[in-house]
Amino acid sequence: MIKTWTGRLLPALLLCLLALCALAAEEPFEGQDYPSLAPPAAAGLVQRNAYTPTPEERGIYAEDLAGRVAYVSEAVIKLMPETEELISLDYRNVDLRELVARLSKLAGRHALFFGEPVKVTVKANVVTPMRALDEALRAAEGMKYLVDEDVILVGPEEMLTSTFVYTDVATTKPLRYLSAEMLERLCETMELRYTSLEPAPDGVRLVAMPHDLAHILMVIESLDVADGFVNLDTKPELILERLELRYITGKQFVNLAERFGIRSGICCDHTDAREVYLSGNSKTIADLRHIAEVFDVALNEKLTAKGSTIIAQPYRFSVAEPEAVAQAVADCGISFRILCMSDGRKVVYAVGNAVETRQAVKLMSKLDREDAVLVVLGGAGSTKTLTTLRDKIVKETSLKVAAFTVTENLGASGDYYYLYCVAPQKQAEEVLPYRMEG
Amino acid sequence: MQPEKSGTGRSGRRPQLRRRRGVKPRVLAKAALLVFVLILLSALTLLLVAVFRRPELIERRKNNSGLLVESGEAQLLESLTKPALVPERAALIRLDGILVLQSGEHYATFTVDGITATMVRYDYVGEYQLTDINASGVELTRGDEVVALTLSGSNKLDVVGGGGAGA
Repeated sequence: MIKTWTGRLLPALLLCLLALCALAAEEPFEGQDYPSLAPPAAAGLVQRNAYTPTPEERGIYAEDLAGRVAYVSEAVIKLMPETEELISLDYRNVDLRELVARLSKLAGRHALFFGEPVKVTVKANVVTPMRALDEALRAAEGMKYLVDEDVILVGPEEMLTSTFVYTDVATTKPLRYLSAEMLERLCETMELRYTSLEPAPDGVRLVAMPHDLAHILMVIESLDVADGFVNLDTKPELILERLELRYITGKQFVNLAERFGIRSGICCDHTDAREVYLSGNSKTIADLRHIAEVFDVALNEKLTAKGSTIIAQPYRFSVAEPEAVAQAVADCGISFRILCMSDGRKVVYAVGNAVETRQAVKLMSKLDREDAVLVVLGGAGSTKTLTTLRDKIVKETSLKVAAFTVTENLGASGDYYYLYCVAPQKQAEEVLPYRMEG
Repeated sequence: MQPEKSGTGRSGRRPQLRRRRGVKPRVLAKAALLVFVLILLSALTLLLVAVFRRPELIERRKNNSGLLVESGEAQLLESLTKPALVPERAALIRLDGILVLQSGEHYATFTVDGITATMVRYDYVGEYQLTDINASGVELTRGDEVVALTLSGSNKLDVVGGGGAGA
């Protein structure tokens, strides 16, 4: 009887085993339903800020920027201070990675994520970013974070034990243009440590401690882009320039560049907070250096200390040539800081505090017409001297009061005002003899 | 002469082994073997299921011993904080969350055709411009059309289905 029972039970058990295995193989992983958060490379995806390209401009983009990101900004760009702010948030059923990335950035750190994505619902009022991260991970259940200097490691609790920061982590990263050998040299230049770095099919296999791994991945994400290489078809060579900042940090500079539409090509030096590496074609590098020229200045530090926010206020030209006007305003004698990007965008930025940028944008708007010439007549410590001069010119020439402007106080230390005139070429010549000495 | 005690003397009859009634040792052995086989099969089944579902568990266990973690894809989330890339023409826009900074900066996170993106005021979400962000929701504008999305109420905008906001 037992014999018969065993004979029937064993095949049944084997069948159950096979069925379970088949079920396990077919059942999808939890993470498969999540949308991709990686920046998509497909054409047709754009990054736009407060500006819709005209049909003609769309044509230019389609031709010149095929497969690349079309970016034009008309939003005010701020130089963000590196202070931790309190935040309030309300997120419903959002990918945890999105939240972790944003909160880490607000905490001034980089996030390295391990494991599968989950969706969370979090609400927090007036908390620090790290406290909000705590709440988000509690909602995710079974997730934990560890902080290692400027890197936040996020992953499943069973993986992130207290010794995880001292553990070697192995991962494989695809490379597009960099080779394992080039990456090795970059790590050497930037003094990045790793245990092993070996070529893998279509990429590189990295073994390093989590903190170092985060920095190496950052180098790859920043520099493994086509624009940074010459001789891509034959023997790719990476263009890399070093830029030393004096008054702002590398992180602030990277944030600024991103808002101006430069998404890659900048890599912070992890040993020196005020040093960055620039990569890209000559125009991109020139643009990055221009951004540094207008933001990394002593005056900005003084203004920030006084409580002013340094901003880049955009003005979009409709008639005049942006580059010509930008040059004219920059050279006019008033200490305006003007930023004109070389990618053909019609937007020019005035950089400084609210008063400076407001005055510069006002001046650019007056110059945005055909045959408009700028003449700065002079500056003084009070407006009375300037209005007297203006009235005299109006009386003695064909120009009207509307052609003249007395600026707001633009003095760096004391009061200082300027008088300027915007008029057609012939009329502008009439005011030249009235220019003040010095 | 005293009588010989039964079963104690060398020369007496060998005592009979006592048997349980109805259960033979051979049957007992077979049953034990069957139980053992069952336990073995169950353990094997559990192991196979675990390997099929989470192969990295085995790998991780193996590597922990040598202080090396095979992390799979260690994802640097830096790129998610960059200004968002979203479809120029979106079919479905969903408001996922709002973040407000002490300094007054407002951020709104959307899922646009499956892509998660965080935007600031005046950014474009598909063909709609994000004209307002407040603590409870956002306002999207396309020409004269203004659509309000809130986290507590309707948070979806089905552009293909007529542009109305749905719950």
